Amino acid sequence: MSLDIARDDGQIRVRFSDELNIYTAPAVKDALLALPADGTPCRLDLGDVIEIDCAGLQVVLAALRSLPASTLEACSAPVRDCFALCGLDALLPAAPTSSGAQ
Amino acid sequence: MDIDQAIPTFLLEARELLEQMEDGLLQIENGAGDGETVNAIFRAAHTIKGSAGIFGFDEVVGFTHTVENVLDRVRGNELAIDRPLAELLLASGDHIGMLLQRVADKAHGHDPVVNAIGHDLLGQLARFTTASTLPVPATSAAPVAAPAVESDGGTAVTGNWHISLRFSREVLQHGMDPLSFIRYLGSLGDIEGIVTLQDALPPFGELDPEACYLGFEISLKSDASHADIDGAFDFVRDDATIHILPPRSPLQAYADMLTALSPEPATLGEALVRCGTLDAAELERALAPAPAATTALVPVIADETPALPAIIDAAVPATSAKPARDSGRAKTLRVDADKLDKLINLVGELVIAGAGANMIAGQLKARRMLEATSTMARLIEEVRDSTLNLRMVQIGETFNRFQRVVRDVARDLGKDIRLVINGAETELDKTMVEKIGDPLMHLVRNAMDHGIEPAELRVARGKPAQGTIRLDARHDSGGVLIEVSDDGNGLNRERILKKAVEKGLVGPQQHLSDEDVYKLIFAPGFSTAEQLSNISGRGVGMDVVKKNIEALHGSIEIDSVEGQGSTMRIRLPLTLAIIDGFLVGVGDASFVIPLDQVIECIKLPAVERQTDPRRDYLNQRGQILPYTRLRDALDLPAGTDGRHTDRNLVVVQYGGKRAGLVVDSLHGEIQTVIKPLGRVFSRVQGISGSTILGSGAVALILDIPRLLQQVIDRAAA
Repeated sequence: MSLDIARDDGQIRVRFSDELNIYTAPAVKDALLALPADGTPCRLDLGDVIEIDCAGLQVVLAALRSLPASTLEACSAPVRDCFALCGLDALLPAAPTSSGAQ
Repeated sequence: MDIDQAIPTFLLEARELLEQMEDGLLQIENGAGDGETVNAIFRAAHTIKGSAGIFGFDEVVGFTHTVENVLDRVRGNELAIDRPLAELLLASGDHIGMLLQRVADKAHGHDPVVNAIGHDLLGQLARFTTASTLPVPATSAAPVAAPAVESDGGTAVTGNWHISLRFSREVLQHGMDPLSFIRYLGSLGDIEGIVTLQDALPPFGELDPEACYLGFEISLKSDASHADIDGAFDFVRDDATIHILPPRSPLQAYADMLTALSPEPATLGEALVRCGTLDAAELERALAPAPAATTALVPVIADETPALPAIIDAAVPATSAKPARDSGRAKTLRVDADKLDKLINLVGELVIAGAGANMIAGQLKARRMLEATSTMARLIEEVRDSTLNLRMVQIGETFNRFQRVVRDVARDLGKDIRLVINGAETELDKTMVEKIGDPLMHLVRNAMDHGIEPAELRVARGKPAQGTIRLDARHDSGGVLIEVSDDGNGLNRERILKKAVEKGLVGPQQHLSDEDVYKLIFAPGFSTAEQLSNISGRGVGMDVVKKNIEALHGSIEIDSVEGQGSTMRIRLPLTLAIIDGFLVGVGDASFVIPLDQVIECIKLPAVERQTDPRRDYLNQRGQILPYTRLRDALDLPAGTDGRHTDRNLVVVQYGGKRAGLVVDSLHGEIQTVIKPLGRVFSRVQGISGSTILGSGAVALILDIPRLLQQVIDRAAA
């Protein structure tokens, strides 16, 4: 699991890769919590996530709820499956492919 | 909970509901029913359907659903129950019973006969359902139907299962991923709607990434059974709150679930709407508070919730909406009959042990010990009575079964016959109630077939065209008296006698009393019916009836007035387990006489003792009292010491007859646990059972009815 946090154009982009699950969720939470809470829009890029479980889903959902103006930017197939399974398709970005946003 | 274990309970309840349905329909057919009767019938069908749905018994659900639709129209005053419809609904009830039997038999696949019957009935029912295809309109577009719907909440339209999942915070740490269960559900059918509930998610800073906060509301289209769906959660059962509602569940069930899951059921309810389980109108109806005037809600909830408490509790764990209103029903408890028998056996042993302690205290002449044992004896007696009382059930249930029998048989015979029941609340031991059903059935059929005349003949005789059969029950001298009477022909003395002579049962010159003549019909193979019908008259009845009744230590006698009707009078003891007895001695042997058959004990006057030993009656206060010496009646050897000889006379009575039994000694009252006699002794006359005395000795229990009969027969000879 790695997190890549970058700022550009007045927004923060967080790129997740590898697994987003109960093993990595605590680290993800800590990293996201460390982001400045100054209202900077935040884009979560899940394009490189190869596995997501309930804990991973949960941390993403919690982030979307708490971080100001945060949106999902790109999602890998496993993430799309997971969101679709949970009836959360509405949160997915329109782009159907994963890495196109880069 | 293993759902399979609840199936017997379901079947039991469903059969009871079917009986209620049948009773109600018969009442309506007889013009006795009212709106509440219709409601009761509807609720019965509704509950059967709902419960069957929980188990996924689709055949039952499908068929009952159609029946329910028809009943719903009746309830909405769109349809009246006339004779053909009552007939059809009764037949439908029978069919549901048949489907339940298939469930009980664990029958798989399709039975062409059952299917054909079901198909035929559905076809007929369809004619009555045309106006409304569903019991509850999908939207509130039908304002006319709305009040009826509100009165019981109705059912949801959805054909999908609804599954509601809440996980414990720890589920993730236990290595379980809730998503995998939802994925598995997807393999059982199509998840047509799912809402992920995030409202439990704390602010990001407080989020414990290893705790689970999510909940799910799922609408699943699936043919799987409840067991299959429920089985999906076997591994997570301890870590989750799972609600599974079958398709077309009562709206009340959704409401109960919402109330159980959330302090704001309406908000949560929106999730059900979003996932497609309910529509907005249904949700509104489900959550609508019961209007004060709609008291109809009370019986519905009261009837439905306790109907299958175990199952509904499994499906809807928190029934916070379950009101105290059902307290009346909740007071009854189903207990395995074996457990009860065991308890009664133990109490029996306790009675014997208590008698033993009392005897020893008496021998030791320890006053305080005697006081203690007599207190204990009193308590044991109370325990015994309450324990036996547990087995007592009202005979009414058995009687009510005959309403249907009388109706059907009367129709087959082309006679108009009504059944009048009295004393349905009379209580009798459960075993007796079960075993008396068949003999009663035979007597009732006989009365209808041979007793009640065709209508024309009745009118010609100046009787009402409608024949009447009465079933009466009441307590009478420590036992129960059941009478089956009719206002028909009465027994034809001459015809019976002629037949008996033909069969060589009596000699042509023999003089017999009416009573003796009537008794001839109990002889094996005796039937006077000139035409055999399929109802009775095959001559394989009355002797079996008599045998069955005697097997219950009962007796049957006949009263009949030719042209006016006959009465069959059955006397049964209250119970077969424990009795109060009166202990007497003849020589070295002890005998017990059931206390309620003892009237008094007198000293046998010396003059009687010295007179002709063959003399068998004495003058008791101006009345003739036939008596017998027990020693002679039972062929006992003379006592070893010869000191006590025939000093006492116990006057016994049974069925309105009295006689004396001469014994050597009187030992007083004892509580007796009846132990059945082995088969070796089954032919011994005059003994009905045995018991163990406090001393450990065995005493035989006298069969007073039979002895009495012997005495009377001999006195009359």
